[in-house]
Amino acid sequence: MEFETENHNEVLIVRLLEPRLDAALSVRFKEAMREVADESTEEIVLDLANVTFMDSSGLGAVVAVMKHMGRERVFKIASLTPAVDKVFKLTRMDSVFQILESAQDAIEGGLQEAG
Amino acid sequence: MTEKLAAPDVKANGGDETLVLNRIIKSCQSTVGDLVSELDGKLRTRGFASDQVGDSCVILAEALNNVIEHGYQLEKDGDIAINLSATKECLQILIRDRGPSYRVPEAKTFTEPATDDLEQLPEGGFGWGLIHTLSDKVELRRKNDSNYLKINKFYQM
Repeated sequence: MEFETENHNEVLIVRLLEPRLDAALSVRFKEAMREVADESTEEIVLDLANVTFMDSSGLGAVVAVMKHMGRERVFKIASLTPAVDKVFKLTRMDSVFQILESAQDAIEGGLQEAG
Repeated sequence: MTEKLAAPDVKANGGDETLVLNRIIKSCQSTVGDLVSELDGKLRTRGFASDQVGDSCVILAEALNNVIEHGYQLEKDGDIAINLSATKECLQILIRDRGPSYRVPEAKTFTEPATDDLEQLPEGGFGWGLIHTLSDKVELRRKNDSNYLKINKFYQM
């Protein structure tokens, strides 16, 4: 599974470089994300800009990552493409996530709060 | 001896615009991804709207993953026959497998999950709900030790 990370002070952006977050990828995705979460202390923003298809297994994996991070850590998702956004909305799981228009919003938001 | 799973015929309604995909695949999740990508490309080439393409791909993926996970229990050597046809009006997907019989849960609408207990959030069980929400008709019958799943979706014009 390919992804890249970008560190901005207290915010770690994890950008998934896969076009599909589906049943074939979901286990590897969960494992990789748990590792990233365990190795950092920052807020994590999962940037899904490259993901043009997500199925229910992919959605379940994103939920699992949030559960793994627990209440104490901040986990947000960003840059949902229309097809991915639709799966979150249809299942009503959009209500349990903090969803950003773009990962950049997390950094700028943080700067404003600090400034 | 297992009888070979033959791809049943889907009769195209004629005309160049009908997309027909007949495949027999092994019950492997990465194969599903390849097939869904192929469907995505072919529908786009034929000028289907993005949301129609996306909905169709989700329906196909969920139906196949269900067969693989619950029917064949993730065994990778099960055969799945797929017959798909798409016109500007309607998508029809026929999926036949030789796994154990299963049932289609009743359609129910998704409700907003309670967020007070993180641990209680569902990580699965969305598949059939998505199929029901995105399609118009779901039928399943069992015959000759095979499951025949038929899904129809009428595209909004």
